[in-house]
Amino acid sequence: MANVFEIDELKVGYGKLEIIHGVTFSVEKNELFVIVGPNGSGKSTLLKGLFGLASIKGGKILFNGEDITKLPPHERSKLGLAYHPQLNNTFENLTVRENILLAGYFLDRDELERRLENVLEFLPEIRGFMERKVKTLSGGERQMVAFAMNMIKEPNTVMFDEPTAALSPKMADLIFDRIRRLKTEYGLTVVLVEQNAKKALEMGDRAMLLVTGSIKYLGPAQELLTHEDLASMYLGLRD
Amino acid sequence: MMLDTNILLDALVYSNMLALLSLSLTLTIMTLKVANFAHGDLAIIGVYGAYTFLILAHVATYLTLPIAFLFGGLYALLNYVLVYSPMRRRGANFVMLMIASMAIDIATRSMLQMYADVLKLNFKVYSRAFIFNDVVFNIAGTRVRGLVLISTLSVVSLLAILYVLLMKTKFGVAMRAAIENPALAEVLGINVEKVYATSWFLAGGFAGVAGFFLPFRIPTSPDLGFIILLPIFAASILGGINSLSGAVIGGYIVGVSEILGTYLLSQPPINLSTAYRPAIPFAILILTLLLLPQGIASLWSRGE
Repeated sequence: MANVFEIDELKVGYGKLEIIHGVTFSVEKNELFVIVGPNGSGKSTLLKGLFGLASIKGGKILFNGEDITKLPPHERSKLGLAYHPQLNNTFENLTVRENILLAGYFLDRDELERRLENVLEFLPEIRGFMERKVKTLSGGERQMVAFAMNMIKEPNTVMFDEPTAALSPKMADLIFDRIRRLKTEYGLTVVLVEQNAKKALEMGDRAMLLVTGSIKYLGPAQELLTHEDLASMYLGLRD
Repeated sequence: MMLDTNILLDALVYSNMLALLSLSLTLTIMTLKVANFAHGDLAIIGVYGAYTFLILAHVATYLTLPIAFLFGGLYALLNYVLVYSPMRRRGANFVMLMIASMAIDIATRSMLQMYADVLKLNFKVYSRAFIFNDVVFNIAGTRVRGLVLISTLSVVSLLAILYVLLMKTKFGVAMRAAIENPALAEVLGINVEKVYATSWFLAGGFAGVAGFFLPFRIPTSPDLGFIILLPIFAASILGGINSLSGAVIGGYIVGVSEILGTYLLSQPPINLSTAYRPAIPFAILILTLLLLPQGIASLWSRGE
C-alpha cells in the first residue's frame, strides 16, 4: 500500500534545543498509526514538526510523495493534512459556528454549507451548541468543535495530539469512536498521539513508542500492548 | 445650582471624542498588546491633515472630516508596517513595543512642529494654537451647534460600521480570531498581518476623526497629542483594556466626569482652579486599578 508519510532521519526542536533525535518511520494510507510514550518523550513535538509548527533540524518529510519539510503550516493544510492541537485549538470568544466558518475561510458559501451538513452528520452533538461561545463549553464539547474545524477542510490525513486528555471516560470513548470511524468509514489516515496508551493501542494498526526523542519500538500496535518489558516500563501497562 | 445646557453639550462633545480615542487605543492594544504612547498624536496628525486641506481647498470645514480619518489611518498604518510589525515578527515584548511607541511619539510631535513651521511660512496662517469656527444647523426649528451634531453622528456611524464589520462579515470574524489567538489563525491560513494592518488603519482613522473636533473646542498645537493621552488611557483602562464596548462606555464616563467635575469644583464654595482638571481622569485611573482592575467590562462579561 502507498505510504502517506515517509519520514527519514527527522530531527525536530525549538530554538537551539533538539528534542527529536533523528527518527525514521512511515505511515501507510488508511492506517491508524499510534504514537505513545512517557511524558516529555517528544510526542507532541514530533507532531508539531510534521505540521510545520516546530523547527526541523535535519532529515526529510515526504507527504504523499511530496517533500513538505520546508512548507509552512497553511501550505501543508492545503495538501490535505490536518492537525488537532492538544490545547488552544479553538477561538474561545467566538461562537461554534464562527469557529467552523473560520476553518473553512477559503470556501465559497455553497461549498461551506454542503460540508457543514456532512460534518454535523458526523458530529451531531455539535448541533446543540452551534450558537454558543466556545468559552461556555465543556472540555469534551471543545474537542468536538476542534474536530469539526478539521473535518470542514475535508483532509485526507488527520493528526491528533492527545484529544482525550482531561476528558471524562464517557467523552473519551466518544472521541475515540469518531477517530476510529474516520479510518473505517471515511478511509482517512490517522496519526494519534495519546496518553491513554491502552485504549489507543487497542484500536491502532501500528504503533511507535517514543522515549526521549528516539524510537524504542515500531511495529504492530497489539504487540506493543502485550510486550513484556516495554509496556510495563514505559506505559504503565501490565503491572 | 443649575447646570448650564452648554456645559452638558460640551461634556457630550468631549465624551464623543474621548470614546473614539479610547475605542481606537483599545483596538491597537488588543491586536498588538502595546500601550501606544503615540495614540494621541494620531488625532493631531488627523487634524493637521484636515487643516492643510482646508487651507488649500477653502471648502466648508466639516467636509474635511474624511481627510482627518484618512491621515490618522494612514499614519497609524505606517507606524504598524514600519515599526510594530517588524518588531512583532522578531518577538518584541510588551515593554519593547511600549518604548518604541514613546520614540514614535517624540518623533511625531517633532515632525508636527516642523510641519507647523512649514505651514506658517508658506501660507501665512496660524499653524499653532489654531481654531475652527463652528456653524449652526437649523433642524426643524431647533438650532443645533455643528460640533454637537456632527461629533455625535460620527460616533454613532463609526460604531455601527465597526460593529457590522466585526460581527457580520467574514473578515470581521477573522479579525476577532486573529486578535484572540494569532497562532491558531495562522494555522488556519488567515493572513494575520493583513488583519492587524487593517485594525491599525481603522484605529488611526477613528483617532483622526476625534482629532478633527479638537480645534472647535480648544486651540490646537502639535504637542496636544501628548496632553490628551491621560484621559484616553483612563477611559480605556476603566473600560477593561480588552473590551471595545467597555472602551466606549469608559470614554463617556471619563469625559462627562471630567467636564462636569471641573465645572462643579470651580464653583463656590470650592472655587478650585480649572487647571486641576487632569486630576479627574487620573483619580478615575487610580480608583479603577485599585477597585476594579479588570475594568467595567468585567461586570458584564463574567457570567457569559
